[in-house]
Amino acid sequence: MLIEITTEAIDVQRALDHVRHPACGAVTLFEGNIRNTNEGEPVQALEYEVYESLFHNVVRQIIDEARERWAFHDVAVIQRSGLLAIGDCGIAIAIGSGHRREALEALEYLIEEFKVRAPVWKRELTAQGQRWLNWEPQVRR
Amino acid sequence: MTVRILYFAALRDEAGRAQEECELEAGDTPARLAQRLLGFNRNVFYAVNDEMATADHLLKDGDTVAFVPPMAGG
Repeated sequence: MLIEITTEAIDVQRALDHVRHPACGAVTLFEGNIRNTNEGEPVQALEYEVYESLFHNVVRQIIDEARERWAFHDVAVIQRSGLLAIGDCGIAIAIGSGHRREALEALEYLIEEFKVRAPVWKRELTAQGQRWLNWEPQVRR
Repeated sequence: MTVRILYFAALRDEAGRAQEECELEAGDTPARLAQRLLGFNRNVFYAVNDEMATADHLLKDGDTVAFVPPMAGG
């Protein structure tokens, strides 16, 4: 199992190489990349913030949950932190398994769970300014 | 009796600080600390000692409590 946080460009090949194995007939890969628009508005860049020690614990927990449901061989998660440009990879998740069904279904589970449970936050930079995603600023009482 | 408080992302910006030490009062929980330190209850999650925790988790001396905004992983 590989869980890594990096401020450098993600080396997707490293994630793939980590999970490849003679016993694995299937390898699946998810790249979460920075899109040039969000809700129809142009985006210039995204800043990623990661609570690193909690990230490791939460990701391990989610992987353990997946292992209880699907028999895969190995998994690699590489998470980017810092300022990302359009097209940059924000997260790479790779899974190797004996057969394709496990690798596909476990990958989808990890993606969906990371989205709501992994302690990662994104600040969107646009021509109009910047804002944290998933957050409504509120005036302090 | 103190705890260390960590603020992340939007919460850090709103609080104007990344971390602080805080005196612990009897029966303190992450939700009570958030109310006392932030002055309002927001839709946030809590972590204690780098593990996710419930709002009513009973805190003890030396704990590290993180106020965690809604995640945007992936």
